[in-house]
Amino acid sequence: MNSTARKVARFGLLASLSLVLGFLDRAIPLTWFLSGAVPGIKLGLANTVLLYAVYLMDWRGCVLLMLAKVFLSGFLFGSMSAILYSLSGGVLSLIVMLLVRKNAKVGALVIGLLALLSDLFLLSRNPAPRGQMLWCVLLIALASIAAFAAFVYIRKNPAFAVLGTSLAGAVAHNVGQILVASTVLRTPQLLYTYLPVLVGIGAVVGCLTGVVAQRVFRALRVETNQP
Amino acid sequence: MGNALRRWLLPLFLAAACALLPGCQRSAENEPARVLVDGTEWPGGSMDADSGDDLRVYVTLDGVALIDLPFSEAHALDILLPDGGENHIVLTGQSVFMQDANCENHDCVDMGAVTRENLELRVMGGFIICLPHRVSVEVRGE
Repeated sequence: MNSTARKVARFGLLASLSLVLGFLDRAIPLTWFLSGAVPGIKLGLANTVLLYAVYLMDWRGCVLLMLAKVFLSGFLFGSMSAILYSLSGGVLSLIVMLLVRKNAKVGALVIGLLALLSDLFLLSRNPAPRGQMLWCVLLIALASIAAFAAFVYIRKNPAFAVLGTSLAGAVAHNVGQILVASTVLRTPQLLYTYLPVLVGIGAVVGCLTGVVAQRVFRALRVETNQP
Repeated sequence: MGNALRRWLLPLFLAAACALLPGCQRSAENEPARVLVDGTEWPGGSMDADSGDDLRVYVTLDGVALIDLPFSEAHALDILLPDGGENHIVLTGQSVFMQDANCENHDCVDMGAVTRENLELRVMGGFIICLPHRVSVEVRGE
């Protein structure tokens, strides 16, 4: 088969898959989790498609796929502001994923350290957390442990590299969104109240989607350690 | 990707992005948002308090102050945006919460109430934020 036709077919398939998964993301409400304490979180299943593209396509294809996903799903389900936020998250997460795809264990290590730091930062601001804050601190600690475990796994077995890339991408997505949100709202306070929590949640969710993506890759027999 | 895709679609997407992004920033100067306090139009600025209370509620749109009023008084605020967006904020005197909004995700409604007790315990601190409408409510000291 013509290789261009193959590429176009694959691109279309991935774009439509990311739209469907984006819809699934909206259908699974994570907001009830922590009783609305952490607004606007979702599973990020659509990011597994981008993760797949990062390992299979060149960077131009990835950028195109990301833009297609952001704009099409924005026009289909969202609004202008939704496009703005998902674009900022998408751009930053794609840059980070392209950067760490070849040394994913470094990505996992950095995310682990970042989660640890944000946990310590939250604790320093609020030394005796109760209620929502206690749950968040525990969650971020869990995220940090998970990221360090991912680092160890990837070092042992390079086939787990997707996990590190997924972690880094999910956290970068959240960081990009919060940067834009705090700029638009002109509330830099978001950066020290909300960002540490989102780093932790991004790491947890990124771990989950990373495991999913790794299983999919193995089923499809994609070599992830040689991008 | 094919050559045509690379040559045409990528610039097209980028041009669309460039055209859309400035449109996202609402021009607060041209058409101001309306604020109704207990059903009557509010001219803007802050509401004075004689209660000697330290906590105040600050409502901003795009980071521009709309109104600020004492936490300890009971009021119903309606924020009516020029593009049709509405946010209904309720102050009970003990708590502040977003009662209703016509945004797409209702995260602000789900964020619950800010009270004197949970100010330090909430993840969002004293903030209730409606991201699609860029309306932010903050409870803090003067």
